[in-house]
Amino acid sequence: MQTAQAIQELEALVGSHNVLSSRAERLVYGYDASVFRGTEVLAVVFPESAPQVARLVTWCKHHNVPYLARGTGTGISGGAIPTHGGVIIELARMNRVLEIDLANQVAVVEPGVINQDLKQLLLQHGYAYTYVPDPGSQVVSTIGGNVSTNAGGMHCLKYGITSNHVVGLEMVLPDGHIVEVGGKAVDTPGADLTGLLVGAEGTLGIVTKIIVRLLRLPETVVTQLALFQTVDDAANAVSNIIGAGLLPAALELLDNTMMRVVDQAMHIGYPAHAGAALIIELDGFQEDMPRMVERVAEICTMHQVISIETAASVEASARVWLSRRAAFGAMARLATHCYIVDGCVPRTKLPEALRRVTAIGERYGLLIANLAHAGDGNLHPAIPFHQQNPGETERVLAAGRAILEACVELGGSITGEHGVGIEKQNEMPLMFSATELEVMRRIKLAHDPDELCNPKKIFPRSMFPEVTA
Amino acid sequence: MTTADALGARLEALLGPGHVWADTCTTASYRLGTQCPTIVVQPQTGAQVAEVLDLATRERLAVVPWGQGTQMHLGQLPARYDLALSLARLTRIVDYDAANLTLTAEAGVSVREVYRLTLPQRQFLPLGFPGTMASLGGLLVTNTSGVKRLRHGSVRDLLLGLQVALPDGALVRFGGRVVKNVAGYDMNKLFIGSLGAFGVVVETTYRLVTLPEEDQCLAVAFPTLAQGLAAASAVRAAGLLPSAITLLQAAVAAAWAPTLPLQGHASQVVLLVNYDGTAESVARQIQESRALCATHGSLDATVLTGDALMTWWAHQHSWCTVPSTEDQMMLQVRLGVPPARLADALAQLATLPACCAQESHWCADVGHGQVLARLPLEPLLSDTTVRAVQDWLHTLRIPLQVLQGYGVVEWAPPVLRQQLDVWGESSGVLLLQRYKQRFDPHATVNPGRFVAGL
Repeated sequence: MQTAQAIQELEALVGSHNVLSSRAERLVYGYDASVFRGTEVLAVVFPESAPQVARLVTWCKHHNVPYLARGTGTGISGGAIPTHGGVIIELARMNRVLEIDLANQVAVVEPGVINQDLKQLLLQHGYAYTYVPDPGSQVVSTIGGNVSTNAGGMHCLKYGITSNHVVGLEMVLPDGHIVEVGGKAVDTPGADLTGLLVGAEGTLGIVTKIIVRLLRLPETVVTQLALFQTVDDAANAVSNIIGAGLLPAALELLDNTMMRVVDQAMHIGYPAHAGAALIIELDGFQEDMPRMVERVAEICTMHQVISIETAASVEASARVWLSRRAAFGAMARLATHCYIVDGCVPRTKLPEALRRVTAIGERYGLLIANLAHAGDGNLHPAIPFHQQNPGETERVLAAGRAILEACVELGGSITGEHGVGIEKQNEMPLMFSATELEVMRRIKLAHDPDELCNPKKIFPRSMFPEVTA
Repeated sequence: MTTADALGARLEALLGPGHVWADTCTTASYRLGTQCPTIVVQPQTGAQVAEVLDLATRERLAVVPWGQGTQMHLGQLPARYDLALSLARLTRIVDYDAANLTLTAEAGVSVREVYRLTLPQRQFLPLGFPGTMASLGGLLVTNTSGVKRLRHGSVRDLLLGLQVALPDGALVRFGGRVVKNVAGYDMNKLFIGSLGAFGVVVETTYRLVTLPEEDQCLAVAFPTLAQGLAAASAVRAAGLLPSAITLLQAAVAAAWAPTLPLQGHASQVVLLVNYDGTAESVARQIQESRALCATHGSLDATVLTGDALMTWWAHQHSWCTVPSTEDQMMLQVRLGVPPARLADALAQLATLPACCAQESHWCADVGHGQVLARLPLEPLLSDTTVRAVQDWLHTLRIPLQVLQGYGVVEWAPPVLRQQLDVWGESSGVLLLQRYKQRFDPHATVNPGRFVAGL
């Protein structure tokens, strides 16, 4: 159909103030935080309710136009990149916190609510509860986006990932039906559909409402910075801390390269000779802290720890965390782009995995700075590069693939939290047989047989029939 | 050769002799309601399970999987029943990785066996009840979480991966052994609570939890239900970390443990709060809870620990599991509501169907808004009884739905069960129907037993 007519019809559906159609605007929405770039879209629309989303989806289905949902575009696997044009359904205006139900320890939110904003709101009210999932992007990313990738974060070691904090949701299906799954009551009859739909990367429908679990704020929090001589020592200490039955709230590892990058940017004062830094956060009851702190110190000492310092104030604690949370930002000083690999291995295999990452860096002639959610075995090698240099992007992606192959070989996964999107479509066969991919695809076909809803993502590109535009 | 003989021969060719039975004695022991299977098979591997399903689908046979048989009463009776598929031989421990706190085991392994294996490493799997014979696969497909769910997580939180045999004969794995894994759809979740509707789980990987240093349960008697509920609410809001909060009628508590050292014959309900963790934190939480309960008019309190606590849970387990005699005239229902509306759920039990012989008995999981109620029925099942129960169920579900809750029938005598809407309404039925169409188009596994007659 004619573009002008299409725009007119979309404006009629959501109001002209909710449609962006200028060329510049449409091009801008072809980017997200990943290294991928999309094709030109027809329009960007901003629905304000689930029925509006349903009408948009129905319109797209009727006109055979692909579409995808977008939060704030912080994803780095390309989940929000429009690879086939069509319509971007931007959920930023569906950003209300609909209900805070402390008695049931849940909140009901629209998908556009920013992760950190929910935490802030609870804090402002002086509630003793918080929303725990804290992906690195939490200041900017939306809860809908977090749900779509099943985002992790630094506190999922103890508290679980997004999926463990979603008890129900509402989704607009590609045929326009609005379904509700899960709810405030647990164990609703039927399968765990809520769990199945979390992490579907926007390919099964559009989430329009989420019921999230709130958790009690811990009584006491202790933040520590431990410096080790080698990455091996730090990673082994992590294994043993957890193996000893202690469950810290967070265990974040930075290698020497990353420490230098962060130090240059923020002047933390990391000693040059330290091979690795480990941020340890312990939380729980006051009476448990001394013994926990002592036990952790004992285990770190067994692994030749150079020093452990406990942050003596809230500000000191925030500074320790800033060095971790601003790490990727600090990488921006090294090159125009930074590729963040996301792989996962069993915790005890982390030292070996990091050794292989170093070897791969050398093999491909690339500088790699390492961050890891060490307690989960979730590594984030960060590779600075210049996208405009011919061949450099390919080399970086090849190194990334080699790292993922190593992770799978060690019994892990090609993605711990960032999702498959576009980035890892062709790595899916590292983990799944053709039969397994076909079985997984049955879910997609049950939702979106027309392949219009964030089309051709997740599955290996060789699997798709043509989408007629 | 009859069709049954021919089928038996083909199954023996697949599984070997000695793993296929067609005699009436064996088939009778796999009876569900009034139906017995024609043949019972006991594959030795997941691959064999897949082959059996493949054959069954091609021949349009109906298969009912059996784990340890502890919860076969759930769901509706099967619409058809040709093969009993016993997973009793799938009992291998594939990989116990204590350092990483993960356990991979075949679906037929019992929780009791898991405890035996992991306790020496000071680890445990918080599913089902300690010492239960329920199988790992069975717990998964019935979505049976554990007593300590409030602190240590549910089936969904503990499941890392599985291997499943599909009705079309495929044998596939989803998830893995790592805690963080978002590669593709979270397919594991499709099978949780599915009663086998989409496939038969043959192997599971679960996350384990460190055994706590101390484990105690505070038991408190209250004169009225209202006070017990108020105290329970206060405990929930108190910033403590209970592993379980249970409220039950004093009469039920007395039946479970006549020696429970609680004074107060005037008590109507007993509140039990379980804490586990370090000795210091458990002691403090018990003390604080005790004080809280006192402010809500508690009559007496005692602490259960060690063997006494294990015995208590064993009683709770056998009460919640149905009677083994199928002709017991009883209705067992599970009501689910948002936890803050538990009082409303209990209020629904005030009006019972006319055919109830005596008053109902109930036990409530306060932390999760779940009530398990047992209604004794008149000894003779008549059309009037059936009608009365149907009406009661229907009426019960209206206010529950308004509360965003539900009510399911967990047990009823087979003749009655067949005439009841066991599951009630369920959101997401549309999706379940579509998945069923793609995973099990010929309704091979447990036909008719699941939600919406699937």
